[in-house]
Amino acid sequence: MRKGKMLLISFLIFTFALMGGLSTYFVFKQNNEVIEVASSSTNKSVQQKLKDMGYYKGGVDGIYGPLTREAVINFQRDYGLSVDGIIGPETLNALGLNNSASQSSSDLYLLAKCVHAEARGEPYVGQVAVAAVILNRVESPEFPNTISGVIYQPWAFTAVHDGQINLEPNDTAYQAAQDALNGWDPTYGCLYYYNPVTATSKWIYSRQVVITIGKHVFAI
Amino acid sequence: MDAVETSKTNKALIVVTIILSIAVVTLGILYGISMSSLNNFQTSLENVYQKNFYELVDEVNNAETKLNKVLASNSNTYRSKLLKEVSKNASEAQTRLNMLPYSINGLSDTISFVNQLSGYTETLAKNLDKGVKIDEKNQETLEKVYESVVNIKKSLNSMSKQMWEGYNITDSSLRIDGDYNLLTSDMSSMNGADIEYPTMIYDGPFSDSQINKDVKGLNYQEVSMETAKKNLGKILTDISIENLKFNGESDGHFKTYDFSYEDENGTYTFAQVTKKGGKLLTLSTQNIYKNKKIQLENAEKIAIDFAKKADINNLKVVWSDVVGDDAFINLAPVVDDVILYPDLVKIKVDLSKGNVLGFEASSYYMNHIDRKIMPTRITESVAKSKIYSGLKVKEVRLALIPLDYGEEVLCYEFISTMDGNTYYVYINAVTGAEENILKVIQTDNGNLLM
Repeated sequence: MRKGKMLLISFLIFTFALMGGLSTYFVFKQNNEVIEVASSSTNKSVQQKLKDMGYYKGGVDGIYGPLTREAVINFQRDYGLSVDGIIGPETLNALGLNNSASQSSSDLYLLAKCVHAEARGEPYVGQVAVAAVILNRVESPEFPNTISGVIYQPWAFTAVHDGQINLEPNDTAYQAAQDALNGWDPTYGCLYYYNPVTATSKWIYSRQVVITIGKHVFAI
Repeated sequence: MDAVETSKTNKALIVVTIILSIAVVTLGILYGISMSSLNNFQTSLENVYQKNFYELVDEVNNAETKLNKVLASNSNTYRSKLLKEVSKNASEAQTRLNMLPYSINGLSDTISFVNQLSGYTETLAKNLDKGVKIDEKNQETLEKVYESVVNIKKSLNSMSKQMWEGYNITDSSLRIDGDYNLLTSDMSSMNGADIEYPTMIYDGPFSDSQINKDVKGLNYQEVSMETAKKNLGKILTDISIENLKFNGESDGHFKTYDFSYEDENGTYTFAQVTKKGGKLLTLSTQNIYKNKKIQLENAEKIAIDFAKKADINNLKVVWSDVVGDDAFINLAPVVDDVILYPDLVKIKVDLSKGNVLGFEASSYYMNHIDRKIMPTRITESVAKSKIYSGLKVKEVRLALIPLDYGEEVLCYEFISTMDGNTYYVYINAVTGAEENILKVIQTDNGNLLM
C-alpha cells in the first residue's frame, strides 16, 4: 500500500502548497470586507431614516438587501429623484443625511474607531481616557495638530498599525469618544498610555505616571 | 518483485511527480503574483514617504530663506507678511514630518520646535499688525531660531543626498535600532542632541504657557482620603459609601483621590475627588438604558441640582444638547448677570432614568476665582450696531469669555440667526471689537458650537 500513502502525501503537499499561496488572497479578501463594513454605517442610518419614515420594514442591520433596495426605490419615486435604488449623494441629501458640515462627525467616527481598536474591553472610563490622550496629543506641540494626524501618525498606535482600526466601533466606543470631545479627560492632560504587561519600549517607563485605569497606565 | 508490480510502482511515481510539479508551478505562480503585488504596495508606500520628505525639505528651505529676510528687514509690514509665511511653512513642515515613519517620540524635540516656530512667528506677526514692534529680546530669539532652522536644513539636505543614493525610508523604518527604528537614528541629527533649540516665550499656539497652566480655583487645605470618600458619598446619594472602592491617586494637573463603583448590572462608575478641598472633579459612567423618557428641561434641573450637591452654586444652563440617549448640559456661574464662560461645568444626564452619568468641573476649578469684572464701556445698542446687519438678534446677554491664550474679556453675547443658521456673536463690551463668532452646526449626533 505504499503508493496509496505516496499519493496521499503528494495530495497533502499540493493542498498545503495551494493554501500557503492562497492565504495572501484571503488577507486581501478580508480587507475588502472591512471596507464594506465601514460603509455599512451609512446603510444603517439610511435604513433607520427610511424606517422612521415608514418606507422600510426590515431590521436596521447595515446590509443593503432587497428590502432596503425596495425602500430606497419607493422613497426615490415619492421624492422625485432618479429611481435607481442606489444610495447616492442626491438620495442622502433628500434623506437629510448628507451633512456637508459633518467634519466634526468624522472626527467623532475616527476617534471612536481608534478607541474601539485600542481599548475595547477596558472599563468605560479607560476608553474615555484613551480618547482624551488622542485629543491631548492634538493640543501638544510634540504631536500632529489634527485628530486624523495623531491617529494615523506612523507607529503611534499598535491597533492602527495592525489594521484593527478598521473594525466598526461599538456604542461604548462612540459614547467614550463623544465624552472626550465634550471635554472629559480622566487623565488630566496625559500624552501616553501603555500596558505594562506588553510594553516593549524602555523609554515609556521614564514618563511620569498620572493614573492607572484598567490595564493601561497613563503618563505625561 | 514481478514485472506488473514494477510497472505499477513506476506509474504511481509518474503520477506523484506530475502532481508535485503542478503544485510547485502553482505555488511559484501564486508566490510571484503575491510578491509583485507586495512590491507594488511597497513602492507606492515608499513614494508617499519620499514625497512627504521632499516637501518637508522644501518647506524648511523656504522657512529658512524667509526668516533670514525677516532679520534683514526693517519694515513692519514686510516683516509681518514674511513671518506669516514662515508660520505657514512651519505648520506644513510639521504635517509632512509627522507623516514619516520614524518611531514615536524619536523626534519630539524637532516637532515641538517646528510647531512652536509656527505659533511664535504667527504671534509676532499679529503683534506687528497691532503696532507692537519686535523688541530686542524677541530679535535675539529670532536669531537663535534662525540658527536652529539652518541646522535642521543642513541635516535634511544631507539626508536628501542619501535619498539620491537609494535610501529607502520604508526599509529603514522596519529595521529596529535600539529603542527606535533605523530611520529615527538616521534623522536623529535633527533632534535635540546636535541642534540647540531656543526657548520661545509667547502667548500663542503650542506655547509652553498653554501647556503648564496653573490650577486657580482650589485654594483649600488638603483633605484625607476618608474625607474625600465621605464627600463623594454625600453627592452620590443612591450609592452606599461602603460600596465605593478607593482606586488610588492621580498625579496630573490636579491631584485627586480616585474611586470606583460597580452596580448590580456591572456598570462601572469612576469618580475623582480633589485632594485640595475634597471636591468632586469628574464622574464618568456609561449609559446602558436606551429608552428616552425625560425632557431636556428636566435633565437641566437634574444637572443644576447635582452641581449644588457637588458644592457649586449659582450655575445657569448656557448650552445643552441631546446626543443619542444622553443630554450634555453645560453650566456656567452667573455673577452680576454676567455669564462666566471660563468656569464651565459639564454634566451628562441619561434621558431614560434621569441619572447623572458624567460630571466634569476641571475648567471650573482651573479658572474659578473671585473676579473683579470691569464695567461695560459701551451700551448694548452700540454693541448691536457693530454686528453684521444681516443677523437677526434673538437674545442678548453679558458674558465673560476666554480668548485663546488665557485672556478673559467681557462681551455682549448676541444669539442671532441668518438663513436658518444660528450664530453666537461676541462684541467686546469695552472696546466694541468683534471677539468671536460661534456657529451652531447640526450633525448626525446633535448640535455643535464651532
